[in-house]
Amino acid sequence: MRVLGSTWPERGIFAGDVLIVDAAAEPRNGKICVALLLGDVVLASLRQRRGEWFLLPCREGGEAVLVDEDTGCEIWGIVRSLVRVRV
Amino acid sequence: MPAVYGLIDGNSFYCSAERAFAPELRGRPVIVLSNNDGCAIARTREAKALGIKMGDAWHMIRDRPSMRGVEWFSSNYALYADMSRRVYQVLADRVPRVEPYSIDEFFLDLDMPGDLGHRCWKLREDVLRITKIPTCIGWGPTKTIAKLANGVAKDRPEMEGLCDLRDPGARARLYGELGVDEVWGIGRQTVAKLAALGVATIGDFVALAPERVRDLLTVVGARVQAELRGVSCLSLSLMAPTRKGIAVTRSFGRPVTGWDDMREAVAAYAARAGEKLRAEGLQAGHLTVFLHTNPNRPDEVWHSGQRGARIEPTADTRDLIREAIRLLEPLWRDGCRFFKAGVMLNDLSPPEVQAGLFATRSPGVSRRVMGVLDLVNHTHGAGTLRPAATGVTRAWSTRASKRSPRYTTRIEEIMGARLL
Repeated sequence: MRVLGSTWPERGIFAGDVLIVDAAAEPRNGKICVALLLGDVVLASLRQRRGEWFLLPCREGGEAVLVDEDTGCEIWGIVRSLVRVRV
Repeated sequence: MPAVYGLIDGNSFYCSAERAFAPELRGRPVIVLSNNDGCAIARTREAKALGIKMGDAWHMIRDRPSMRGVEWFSSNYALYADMSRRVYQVLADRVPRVEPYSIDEFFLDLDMPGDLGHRCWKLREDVLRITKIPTCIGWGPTKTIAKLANGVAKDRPEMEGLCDLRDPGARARLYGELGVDEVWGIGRQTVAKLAALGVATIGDFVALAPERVRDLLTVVGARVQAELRGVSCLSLSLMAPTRKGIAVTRSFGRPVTGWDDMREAVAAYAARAGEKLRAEGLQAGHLTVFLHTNPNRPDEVWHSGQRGARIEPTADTRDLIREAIRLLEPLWRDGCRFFKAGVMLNDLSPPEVQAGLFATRSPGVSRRVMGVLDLVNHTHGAGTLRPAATGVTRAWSTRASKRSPRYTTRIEEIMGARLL
């Protein structure tokens, strides 16, 4: 998975990085995931609350999104590691 | 021999592979076209609902108003083959044995303890979660029943992609409803023969005396009947069958009217055939070349020709090109608009260690040169190093005007994600 657009310095992710995504991995609190949100492919960190999973946006103050078929949001895979060619 | 056979297959496999990396295609009508962007060869449920049939020529129907929202793709076999491998991998990690039957179908040995219904449900979920390919699974005491169950799982949405035909009672009920043409291995001619006897449903067919079936349909038909009765005759074959022949044939992107283009195209097909040959560790002792004009254009001059010859066994691209062009030359006619050509290799065998008495080629040198050629093309991408005879611009090459990215096999073409 290639990171498009902006960077996420807190998690050390920069535009153009290649992420290794594991679709077989179980979701875990705090992990970065690739998710599908209304047809878009997005990166966010995962948070579990009362048995439900939420996507936390990278930017401060963004709204958490409930992972649910009805909200058109699903987890696609869990980011395992990162490859960067340029430094 | 397993006590339970399963068959799992991908729903609209090529379309599902396209959707796996393009979530915006979910819920939308998608079709994949054959080589040269000709006919629809895969359709999603939504596309079927619009009345698109298997084999419909896209250029004939694309202008209909109802086709406005249809997403169409040129076939992307690099992607489909890799997705097939991924599905296989998930299956092989979870069941005792897997036999690939086609690019999107796998027979399974389901001889496992526990609740099989739940296990199959889980298997289907895992394949979907990991590979993003939706599937259906059917299972029963024989391969023929598993294949039938798979078809039922697919045709009846209320079964939620799963169909268990282990129970003879469940089978008996279903056999009364389904036509005998639904059975794997029963072709159109067989259906006609059976109809003459008043056999319409699978139930009718199973009720026939086995001796009668054998007389009418030979031992092959008798085996199908026994399998439907729950007696397993076809076991899982884990060995891939050895190839009998290799063919590389393509329709041209536009009609070929010049000898140079034709020579290039056939050289390129011979080169591709050579790659396939070496990938299987074989050499060929017979080579056939054919070409023809468009059979659907009665207004144009029709010409078709085919020539084959025994060749000194080889797996060397350079030899194959030379032999192919030698056979092609007499087939050429000026003034014809050629539509398709192909190269076929037969009499395949593993290379002999000892050179034949009349060998004119040097197998050691050939093996080294071809080894380098294949290695370069493997590490740097197909076509990086190629014989000049196969052309540079390739004006004749197949149309694939809307191929999706090779998401899983090219690093430049992987999927992208934005920050939320």
